[in-house]
Amino acid sequence: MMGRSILEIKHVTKDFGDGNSTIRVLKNINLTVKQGEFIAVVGPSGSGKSTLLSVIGALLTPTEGDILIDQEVVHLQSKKRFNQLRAGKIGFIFQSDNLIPYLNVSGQLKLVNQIAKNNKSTGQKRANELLSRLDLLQRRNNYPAELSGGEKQRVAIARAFMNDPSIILADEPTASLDSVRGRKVVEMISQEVKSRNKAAIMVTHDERMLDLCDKVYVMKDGCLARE
Amino acid sequence: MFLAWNEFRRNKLRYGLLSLIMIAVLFLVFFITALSNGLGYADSAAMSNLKTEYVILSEEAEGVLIKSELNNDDLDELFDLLGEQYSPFAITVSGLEKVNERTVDVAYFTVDTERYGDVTITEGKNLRELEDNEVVADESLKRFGYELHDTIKDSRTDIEMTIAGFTEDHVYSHMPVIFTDASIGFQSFYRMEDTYNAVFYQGSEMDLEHYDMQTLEDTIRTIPGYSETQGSFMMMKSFLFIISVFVSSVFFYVITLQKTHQFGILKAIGAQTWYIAKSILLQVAFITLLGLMLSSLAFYGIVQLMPEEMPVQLSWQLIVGTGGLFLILNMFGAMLSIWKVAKIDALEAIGRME
Repeated sequence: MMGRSILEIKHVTKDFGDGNSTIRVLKNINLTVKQGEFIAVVGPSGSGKSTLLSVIGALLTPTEGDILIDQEVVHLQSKKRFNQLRAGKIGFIFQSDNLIPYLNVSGQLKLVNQIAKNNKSTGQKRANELLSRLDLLQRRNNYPAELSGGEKQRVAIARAFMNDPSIILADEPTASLDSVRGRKVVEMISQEVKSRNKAAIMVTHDERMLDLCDKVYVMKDGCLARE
Repeated sequence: MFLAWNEFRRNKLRYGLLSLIMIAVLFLVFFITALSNGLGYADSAAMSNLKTEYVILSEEAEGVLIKSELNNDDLDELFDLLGEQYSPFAITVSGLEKVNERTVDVAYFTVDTERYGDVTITEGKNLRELEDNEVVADESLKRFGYELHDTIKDSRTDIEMTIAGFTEDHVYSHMPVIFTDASIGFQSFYRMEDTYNAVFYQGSEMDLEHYDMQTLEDTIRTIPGYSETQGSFMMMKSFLFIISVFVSSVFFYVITLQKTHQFGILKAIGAQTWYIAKSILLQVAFITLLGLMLSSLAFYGIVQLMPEEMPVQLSWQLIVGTGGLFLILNMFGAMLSIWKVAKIDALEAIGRME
């Protein structure tokens, strides 16, 4: 089941400069994630976890080193290709739900399909399937304001999987949920990753979720190490 | 399209209010512009439409037409100097007698109907074709119930005349103009002898002793109060325009700026800036066009309800032009905030920067 590597990070560093001083946030990061793997990154705040996720997600460009998603070097791409990459290969789940407030649940998924320029009817089928798996079918016409925190996060998961991405990047997906709901959300991510043979990286503070992950890495002062 | 439409549907109140503001602002622009155009028109349209290149006045008049007095001797002298290319002109303000009602103020333009030239006729005869005691009146006289072939009676001299034709765009100081031939005699209304205000002349400019020769434009400019009136109308219109365009485009700028966070999400899930921009521009265009349509409808409705004496004038070119300018500047206001979104990282917009 674990075959092809989906994500390869090679010697990645990231500097943030504010004019006269630069801070090295990521120091020589190496990481490979294979199909079907669900990886957790833990560490104190300010250690560079979210920066790592942003660099992988083509939201930031690394200062040095290479990132390959599906054997394609990410940061050499044009800005337009960045967007296409995000739309096609990467699914984001953010810390807070970050849904579009004026779209109902099925609208949120339809939007992703539209941005990725995918076929309408396959998108419809895919959306139905995702909603039923995540137990959201009866909430499909509700708007984010009418959903509970757990439901919103489940919609966010459905949205992240909607474009059939190669890799899911989850940034503290449980931060706004209580532990029971949080665990359920992480279980769902894990299930989706396994059943669809995807890869996922989750940044979290929550140590109780780690048993659901295949590998746990610790981020400390910009260095990444296997626990 | 999908985004824009859903946002409208979900935020009916917000966008409804925004449309209402748009309608109100555009209505105000149209209404005030029309009114000041109309007032400016009623003030001096007849003067702008006088058929001449040059106006010759007496020296003492200092360029002001109604202060100028030319008698028959002057006319003879000018005829010798200018030849056939001249035609005398006199303005006489009086009233028409009306049964059971107050008199109607009118301005008689006494001309030599053979020489003056043709005016725009909407109905009936032109000046050249007039017979004895026939006159050509401005259409605005119809508002007082007069029709073609009606007999009108001057309230002071009791002269009776027949309306043989109607012309348009001849209003002088808010009064309808009536063109009369010198044979009817209003040029000797105040004095026993003929007194004209000016002599019109087509040809090359020349220096005349004892007389002032100036262009028609200069003559209009020296009408007492003309530049003051037109100047303040102009200032009023342009300020209103600038302020309302500014208000509406700032509105769109702010309302788009509020959505920065959403654009961050959209960018993070892979939407290109153009995809976001398209939806915003669609919204701005929709609201502006809706405002344009409803406000011009409201304007049209108000004009129907207003008494006919209210001078309002608004061409469809101005409506379209105003609408176009609002559209462009509103889009510009929205684009200003989209440009900001295009520059910032999706990450920053989401607010997840460690």
